[in-house]
Amino acid sequence: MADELKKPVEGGFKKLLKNIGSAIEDAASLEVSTFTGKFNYQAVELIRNEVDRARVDSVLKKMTLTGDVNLDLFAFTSIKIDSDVTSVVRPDINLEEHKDLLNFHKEMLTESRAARKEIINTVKDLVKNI
Amino acid sequence: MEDNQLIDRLENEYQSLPDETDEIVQHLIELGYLPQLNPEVFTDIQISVAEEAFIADLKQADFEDFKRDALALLFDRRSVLLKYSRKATDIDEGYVFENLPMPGSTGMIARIIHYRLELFGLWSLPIHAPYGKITARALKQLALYCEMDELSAINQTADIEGISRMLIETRPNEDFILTFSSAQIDKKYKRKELNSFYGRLKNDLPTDSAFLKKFEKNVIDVKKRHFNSGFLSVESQDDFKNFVIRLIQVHQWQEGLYDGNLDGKVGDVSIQSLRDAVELDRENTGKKERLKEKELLLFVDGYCLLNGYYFLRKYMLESEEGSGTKLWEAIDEQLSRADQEERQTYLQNVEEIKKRLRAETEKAKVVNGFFRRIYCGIKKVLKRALNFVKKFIKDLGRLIKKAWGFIKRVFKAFFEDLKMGIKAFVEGVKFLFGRKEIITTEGNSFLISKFQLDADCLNLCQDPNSVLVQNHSNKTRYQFAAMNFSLRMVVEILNIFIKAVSVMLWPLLLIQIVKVFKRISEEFKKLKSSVNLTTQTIVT
Repeated sequence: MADELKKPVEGGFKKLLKNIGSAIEDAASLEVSTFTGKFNYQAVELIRNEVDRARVDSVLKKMTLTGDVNLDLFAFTSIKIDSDVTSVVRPDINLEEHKDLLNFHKEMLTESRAARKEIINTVKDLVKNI
Repeated sequence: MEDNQLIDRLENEYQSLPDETDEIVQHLIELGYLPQLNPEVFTDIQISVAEEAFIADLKQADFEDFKRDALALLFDRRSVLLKYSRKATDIDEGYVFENLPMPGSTGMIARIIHYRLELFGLWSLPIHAPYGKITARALKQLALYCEMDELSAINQTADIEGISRMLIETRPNEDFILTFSSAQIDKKYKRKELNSFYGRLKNDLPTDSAFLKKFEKNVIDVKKRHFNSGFLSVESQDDFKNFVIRLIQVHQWQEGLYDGNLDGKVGDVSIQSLRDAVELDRENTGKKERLKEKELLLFVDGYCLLNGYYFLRKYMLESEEGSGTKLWEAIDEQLSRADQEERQTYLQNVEEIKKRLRAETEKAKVVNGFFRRIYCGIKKVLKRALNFVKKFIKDLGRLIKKAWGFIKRVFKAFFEDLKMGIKAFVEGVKFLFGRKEIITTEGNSFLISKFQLDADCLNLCQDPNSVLVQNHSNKTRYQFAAMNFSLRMVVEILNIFIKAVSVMLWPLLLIQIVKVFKRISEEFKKLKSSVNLTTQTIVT
């Protein structure tokens, strides 16, 4: 790379490092929320709207605009970095009826925890070298 | 990440890399799932049917590595097809089998066996023909050449370097002095050339060698150039020696030095490739050890004699441990010592290679009615390239002119790794500061998970069922595995940059990306399929 390009690249890296350094604070807690409902939003529409590029926000917005949203919080779990765990679940949970939903929430919790741990390790590895 | 010029520049680099070639179709032809026609003529439906049959046979073959990747088929079918079609046709580190197939089988193992037999000139029926008596006969022939049982012999062909090593170690040297009729008979014979070839022969064969004695009697001691063509004719019909000629041809093809037909016939293209191999070797040999072409090739009386012992030993010499990672590390070391001007020249040469690769169609070709293919395994060529590291920095331009086939193979592998490395790095960085969504649908049911570094995980679901939950969980696990891989890339590359910021230049950074990518890939072999899944990552 020519010298004139070297400086911006160095600048880019420094900026990246700064951003990564500040990310560690954001990773101090983890919250997993699971909502369920009849969205009247057909799966086929998700596909038609190019699922790969769909944004959850825009999906939600579209669902809201249709006026048919009946969004229920099924479960909410909060985990602090010091391992405090808070869970909120619907009072009318039926273990048999809601088995799949519960499994889903639990799976996402497990995966999110693992992913968060990896991010924290990444940031730690970086910070120790700065 | 706005104004992050590094990421922009890496993304531009990514765009400028040569396109992936249509390699899968070539392998499907080689394995008999498509007829041996010009790959351009196949319709999408034909290709799709062939791919389905290939996957079905892979499943049936019960290969351990494929079992691990079967899930990835759902997310990135193309990468899985590429990986396994390449593996099935690999003769560097190909599949080895525990048993031979049952008679009548037309499955994957039968096809791989026929493919390998065909490479070695022992199979002329269609590759998809059932495994049967003719296969058994061909295997017996191979076993005879290798002096081992049929199963061991076919397994030996999974590593062509190993087969050459084994033959050299077990057979007398004179079995590798080869004779074939040559179209170059009009080449003027010179006594000096004869003496050069003879001198080398005396060096390579024991003094009591029967071949040496016959050669002296029938070629060296004759007067007025009246060679005994009976001797040369008998030699040219020796079955084992013809097998060795084929073996050398396959080695040359593997190394990118030969792109003619693999037919065991030695014509101008084969001879030129042997000359190129000698020339390439001379490029990197000390003056004292340099061999001349006339020491290895002799044209007499309508025949060509080839010192195959030299060539096979050369292939063996490349057997010292080596890998892509080692090669990129060696280049990196040379690059970090190179001055600014050398780096600039290196960079320009790499750009030239990119341009030439983009301009060339790497698809299997049909030339004069024959189907020609490109060998796609890379282990061997990278090992050999280790010997040329110094030339890569200082004299790459000359190598491009002299040994383009070889160089393009090396850099094709480099660009493939670079592409994957840049992708993992850029997506890893974006993931750190972006949001990622995973969506699974089935009928009117769907699950959406939105992950953020700062705002955690939000799930939305409509009519979930256990299958949908399972699929979604699998997808999430793969995505996170891929993301972890990317994050490791980010950490490694950023750390390198932090330590070497003052000397970091563009060619060095690109080499670092490939190096880190290779190393982490090896550590994360089990995540290899997940790496491919980064193509599915949705980053906002």
